[in-house]
Amino acid sequence: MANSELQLLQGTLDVLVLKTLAWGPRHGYAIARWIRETTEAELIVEDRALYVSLHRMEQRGWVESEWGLSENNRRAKYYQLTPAGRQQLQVQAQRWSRYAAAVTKVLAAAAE
Amino acid sequence: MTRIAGVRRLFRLRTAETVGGDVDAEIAFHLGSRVEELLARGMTPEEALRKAEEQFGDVVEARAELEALGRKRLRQERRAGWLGAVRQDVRHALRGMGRNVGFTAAVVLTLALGIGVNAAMFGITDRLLLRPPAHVVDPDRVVRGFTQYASPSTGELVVSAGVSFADYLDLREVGAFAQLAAYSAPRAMVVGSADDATEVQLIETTATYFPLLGVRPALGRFFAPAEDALPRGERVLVLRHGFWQSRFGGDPDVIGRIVEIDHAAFTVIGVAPRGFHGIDPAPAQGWILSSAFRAESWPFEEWYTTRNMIWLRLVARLAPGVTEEAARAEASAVFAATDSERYGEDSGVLLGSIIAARAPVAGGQAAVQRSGRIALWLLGVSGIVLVIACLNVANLLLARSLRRRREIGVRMAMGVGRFRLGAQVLTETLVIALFGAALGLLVAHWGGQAARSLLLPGMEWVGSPVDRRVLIFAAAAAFASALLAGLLPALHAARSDVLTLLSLGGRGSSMRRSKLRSGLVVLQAALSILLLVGAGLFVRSLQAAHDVPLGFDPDDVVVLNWHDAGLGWTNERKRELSEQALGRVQALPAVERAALSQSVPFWSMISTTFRLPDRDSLPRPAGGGPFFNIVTPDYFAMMRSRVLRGRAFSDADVEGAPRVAMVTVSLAQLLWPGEDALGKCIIYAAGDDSPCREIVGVVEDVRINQVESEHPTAMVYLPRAQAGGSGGANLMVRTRGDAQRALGTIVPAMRSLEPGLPYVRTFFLRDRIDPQLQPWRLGASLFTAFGVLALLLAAVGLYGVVSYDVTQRTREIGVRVALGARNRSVMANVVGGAVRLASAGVIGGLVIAYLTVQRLEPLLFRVSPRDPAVLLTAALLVVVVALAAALVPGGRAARVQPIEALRGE
Repeated sequence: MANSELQLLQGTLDVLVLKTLAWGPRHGYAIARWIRETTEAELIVEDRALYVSLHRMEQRGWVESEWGLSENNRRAKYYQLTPAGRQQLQVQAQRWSRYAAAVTKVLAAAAE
Repeated sequence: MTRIAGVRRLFRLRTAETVGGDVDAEIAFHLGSRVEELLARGMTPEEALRKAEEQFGDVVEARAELEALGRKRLRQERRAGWLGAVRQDVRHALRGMGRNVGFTAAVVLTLALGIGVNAAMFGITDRLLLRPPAHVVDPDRVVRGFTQYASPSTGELVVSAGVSFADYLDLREVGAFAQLAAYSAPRAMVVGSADDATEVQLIETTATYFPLLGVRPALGRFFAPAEDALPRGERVLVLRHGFWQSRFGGDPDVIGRIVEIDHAAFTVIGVAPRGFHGIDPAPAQGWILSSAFRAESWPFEEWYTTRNMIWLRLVARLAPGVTEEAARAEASAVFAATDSERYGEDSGVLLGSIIAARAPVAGGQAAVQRSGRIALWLLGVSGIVLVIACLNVANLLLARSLRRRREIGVRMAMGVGRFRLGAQVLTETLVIALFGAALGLLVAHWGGQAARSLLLPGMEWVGSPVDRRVLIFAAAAAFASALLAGLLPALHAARSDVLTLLSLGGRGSSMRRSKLRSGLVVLQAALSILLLVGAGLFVRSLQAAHDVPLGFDPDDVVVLNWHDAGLGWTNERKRELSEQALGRVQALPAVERAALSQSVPFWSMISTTFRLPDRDSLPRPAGGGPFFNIVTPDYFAMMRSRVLRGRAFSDADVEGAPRVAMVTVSLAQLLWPGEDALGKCIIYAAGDDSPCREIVGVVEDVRINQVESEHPTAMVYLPRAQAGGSGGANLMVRTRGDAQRALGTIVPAMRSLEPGLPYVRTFFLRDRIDPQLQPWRLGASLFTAFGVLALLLAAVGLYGVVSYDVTQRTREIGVRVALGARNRSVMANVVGGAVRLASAGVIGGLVIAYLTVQRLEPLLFRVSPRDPAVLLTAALLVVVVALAAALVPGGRAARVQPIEALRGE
């Protein structure tokens, strides 16, 4: 069970990262910061897990990376969505909404 | 930062070393940025660093994890890059093919013909020579046996495929053979009775035959050992699958049916599996036990003890662990011991594979051998056709790469490597070749079927000519031709120089390439010459074989006789029936002439001895014999043999009249050199008191056995009315009009003599002779087909080169015309160039032919392999075809308008 929980977490993280990249290329640090800020620090994501997710998705062809210069003129690795990644984002986002809606329905029914 | 990631990636070199560095840099950047952010919030550097690391997680573990992922991706990318390049090349090739349909069609068709012809020939050769017979289990342990002994007449060592039944019985004792079997060549027997009777080919075997080969019956069972008893075996019959289908409609209840064979009742016990027709590629419809057939058909009981009758062939399965050599030694010892005085010291046994190509020299199988050898030759010849096709494709590709020079230049300027350019050309050729191979399989299917019926009619071929092995062969041929056709153009593409390509654009001098292409055309012409010379030699052989004076005219002659085996007719009855039949048939309107004849040329011969009254011994005729024949008076007129001196037999030559004989002219000259044979006397028969026969006529020489034989056959003829005890005879009829239709009236006339007469066997004399011409006919037709194909391909190649040349030189020609050159001289210039190319090829081809064609000699008939007429005709043909191929582009050159040509640029 621990394993499937981990996968779930992994999948959750993936969709968050993909969503982050939907607005344009970013480096890993910017992604981490954006997630932290958007979720108002309610989701605690270990940075290490974020990078593993990025690299794995790069291997799957969902994102691609290249080295560029950051805002403060330092060499940084930028990630951007590939068409396959964009499609993946759509699929996973939909699945998440359905999942969340279903869970919400059950919880609402229980409350009555 | 730039977004053109794809382009940037082209330049980025990623290696295993940089993967780790990248990970480090990425982590460092992250931690650095985080620390900066925290510092800005007012943390101390120590606090900030600790917090950043805490949020990151285990850095060392993360690093290892990310690096592993990176390496994995690197490997993936490399593979994808390679595959991507191939995919890209294939796509490029397909696009190119689609863009230029005419070009593609020409190339694919050319290769399809080349590959298809080769696949078909390979299929035939493979089945015929390279593979063991179908259904044989563990064929490597099965050997054919041949005997070797000094010929009693000449003392020369001869190899024979034949043994007697007694030899077989002796060799059964050889311990090195796990099993031994004997089988006969197919022999004609009559199956069924009365109107239902047909003549079929059956093989006699021993009961060991099927178990030895490991063949399993499709239905019923094979011979049981107990059935193969001596001196008389059981009358049981095994059917060939095809015969079961055609004669018995595949009826599963056929087992146990009684079938009449040569008027004796045989019981069907089994059906052989589909595609099994014995060890030799000679068609037969079934198998019976030798012990059942011989005991019936031979007048003497000792059929299995005599060594005089040789009609069986040997096949053995080696005992486990025994080498072929050890088996041969043991068998030789046994064989030599059986009959050393008869066969001499050197006698012994030879063993050979049942795979025809690996069999030792086998006497008695000359026809199959020759077909096999010719099949091998044709495989080689079809290889030449494929080479010519490849040269053509190379030529077309080169021409196109010249046309695409600018494109290639641009690609090179963009940084596409030479290697990639070459690989691209090769990939393109390969794609084309595979298309060609696919289409070629269709060619192989039809061509193979045609070649099968041409090479070995009557053999039961199972399945399509295109089987797995042929498929593999075709694929291999496609790869080989892609390499052969694509290598030159690929090297060219790779050797190209950007600047020259771009500066020359679509035109300009291309001397070196056009020389190369001319070279290819020359080579094609030379190879075509080789094939045409081969075709010419076979055509001449066939002609020579046709022109051999046989001493009679075999066309429209039908031979008929009753199949009376097993009926026990007396000589009296045979004679009576024969004469009645002659009388009846002669009167038919469809019969020009008819005669009775004891022997039939190319079917049977009767050897004889006779004496001359004043001599102790007679010289031996060079062609063997002498042979004799007993005929009715009309025989010579019916055969259209010319009587050179004296007269033919007449109705007056009867018993009681003066005894007469006729001889062939060369026998007359041999017996009485320089004298007139007429009125001479020969004594025919053994006793001293035999009456003298007077020679009343000298007839022209005949050949009655081998068309190829150097010497005519020495013949003595006796009139039937004076030949005493002769019984039945063959009725020979020269028909008038359509021979088949004539047969339709003759056979009923013979059968209507009496109710219940047996089956009438009929055949055309021509059909006895034709098989002897078959190898040359085969060689002539296939060599000619391949030769014409080669010539056509070469012509297309030449046309391509000349036509391209004219296009390239349009400007130059325009200038010439503008300067006053006549149309005719422009044309002569173009056509002359083409003919010069062809001539160079012709000379080269003639030289090669002169040097190599000698090896064809054993397959030819009365033609020197260096026959000047053949060489000359082939040379002329190539030059004329070259001329024709050059005329069209030549005409175009002559029509060039100077203004347009100059403006055209």
